[in-house]
Amino acid sequence: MSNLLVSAEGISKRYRSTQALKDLHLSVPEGSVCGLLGPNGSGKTTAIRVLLGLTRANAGNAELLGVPVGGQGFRNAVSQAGSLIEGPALYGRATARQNMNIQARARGLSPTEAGVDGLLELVGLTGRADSNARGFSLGMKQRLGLAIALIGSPKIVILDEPTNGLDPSGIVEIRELIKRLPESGTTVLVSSHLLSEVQLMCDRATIINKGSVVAEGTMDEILGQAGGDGGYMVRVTTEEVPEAYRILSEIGLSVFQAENGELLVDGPVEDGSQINVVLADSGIYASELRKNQADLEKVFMSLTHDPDAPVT
Amino acid sequence: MRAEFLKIRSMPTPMWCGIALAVCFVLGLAVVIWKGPGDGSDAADFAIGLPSVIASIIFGVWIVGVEFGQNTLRQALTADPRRGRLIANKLMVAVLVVTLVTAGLYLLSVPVYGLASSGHDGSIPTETVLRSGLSAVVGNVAYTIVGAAFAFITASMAGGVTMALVFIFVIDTVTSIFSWTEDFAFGPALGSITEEISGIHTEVFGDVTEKMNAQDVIVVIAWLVLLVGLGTLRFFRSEVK
Repeated sequence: MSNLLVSAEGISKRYRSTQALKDLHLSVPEGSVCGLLGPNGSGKTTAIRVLLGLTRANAGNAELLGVPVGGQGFRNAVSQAGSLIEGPALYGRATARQNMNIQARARGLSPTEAGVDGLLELVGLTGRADSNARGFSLGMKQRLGLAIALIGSPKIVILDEPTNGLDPSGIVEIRELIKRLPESGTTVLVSSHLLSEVQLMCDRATIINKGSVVAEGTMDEILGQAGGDGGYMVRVTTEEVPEAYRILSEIGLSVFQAENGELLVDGPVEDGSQINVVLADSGIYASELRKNQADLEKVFMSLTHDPDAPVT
Repeated sequence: MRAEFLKIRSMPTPMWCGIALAVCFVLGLAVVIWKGPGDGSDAADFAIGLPSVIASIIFGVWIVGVEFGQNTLRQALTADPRRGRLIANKLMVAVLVVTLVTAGLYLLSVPVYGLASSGHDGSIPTETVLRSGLSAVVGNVAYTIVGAAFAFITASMAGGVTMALVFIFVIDTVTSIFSWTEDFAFGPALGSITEEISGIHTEVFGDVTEKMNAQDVIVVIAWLVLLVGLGTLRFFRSEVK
C-alpha cells in the first residue's frame, strides 16, 4: 500500500454514556479518494474530529500525514490538511472573499498565495465573491466551505458531507471536483450518507456502524462482501416464469422468483449467455438478461442493519 | 495575528464600536463648541472615557465570542491547533487595538477640542488630557481582557457580554460594598490605579478616593490572571464544536 496520509488504530471515544467510537481503524492512502460511510450517529464526524485534533480520543493512535495527532509536528501536519466539518464554518457577516482571505491569513498565506480568486472560480462563486456569506443558500455555503478547505493546496482534504444542501447539478459538479483532486496531489477523505455518491467518487471506503468498522477496502472488495457479483436477473413473461424456474433449477442454479416476470439466478455459470442458451433451447426467450451489480447501498444496509431496530 | 485584524476589518461589531466612539467624539465636539472645554480633561473624558470603556468590554468579548457564535473555532484550530497561541493572539490583538483606539482618540481630542474651544474662555490642558488618556488606556485594556476572559469562560458571545457586565457592574459593586471584601474588589483597585495615572482623584460621598498602593496593582493583576486562567482552562478542556 502506498504512503498513508491518515492512519488510525484502535481509536475509542466516549461521551459520558455514549460510546462514539470503538476500536476504530482507518487508513487513507496517498492519492486516493476514500469514503467514510455510516448511518447517522455512527461516529463519522467524531472520527474526523479526532483526526484533526479537535477532540481527544480516549484510546488508540491516530496519525495525520505520518505525525501523531496532537504530537510534535502536528501543527505543521494539520496546516497541510483542509477540512469541511459538519457544514462550513463561515463568518456570516463577512463576504465570501473576506472569509477566504481570513482563512488564508490564518494559514500564513496571502490571498494571492492561497489562490483565493482561482478557488472561488473553481467552486462557482466568482459572481458572489463580494456578497455576505450570511445570505448564501446552504449549497453556496458548502461550496465556499469546500473552497476554504482547498486553500493552500493541502495534501489531504477531509470533507464531512460535502454535498449537503447542493442541488443535483451542484452535486455532480462537486463530485467531479472531488474526483479530480488527486490529480493535483490532494488526497481526499469524504464522509457522506449519499451512498451512490461514495460509490461514484471513491476508490476506497470504510463503513462504520455504532463507532466500529464493519467493512473496509477498495470499492470492489466492499461490494464483494455483499455476496460477490450478485448473480443474474432474467426477465421472461409471467406465464413462462414457472417453466423457466424449473429449467434453470434443473441445471443446478439457485433461482429466486421476484416480481413482474423477474427471476434472480445465481450459481456456477460462466456468463449470462449460458442461461440464455438453456432457456432458448426450451423455447423461452428472455426479454432481459443482466448481471446483478451489487451496489453499495445493499452492502451498507446489510452491514449496518440492526435486527432489533423497530420497523417503521 | 493578521487573520484577527482581517476579521476586525470585515465584521460589523468592531465597525459599530468604532461608529459609536466616533459619534460620541463628535457629540463631545459639539458640547465643546457650545459650552466650552470645561475643566481639565472633562471634555475628553465625557466624549471618550465611558464610551471607550463600554466599547472595550464589547470588543474584548467579540474578538473571542465571534468564533463561538459563528462556529468558526474548528476552522481556526485546524489552521493552527495551538490553543494557547490562539488565546495569546486574541488577547494581544484586543489589547493592541484598544490601546491604539483609546490613545488615538485622546490624542486627537487635544488639537480638535482645542480648536473647537477657541471661542470660549479656557483651553484644553494638553498634559492633563494626555494623562487622562493614559489612564483610560490602562482601564480599557483591563476591561477588554475581562471581556475576552468571560467569552472564553462562557464559550459564547451573549454569555460573555452578560457575564462581563454582571461582573463589572454587579459583582464588583457588591464586593466593594463590604468592608471585608472591598480591598479585593476589581473596580476600586483599577480606579485607584487609573486615578493615580490621571492625577484626578474623584470624590465619593465627600471622601476623596484613596491613593493607589501596591495592593491595588496586585488585586487587578490577580483578577485578570484568575479570569484569563479560568477561560484558558475551560478552552483547553472543552471539545471544539
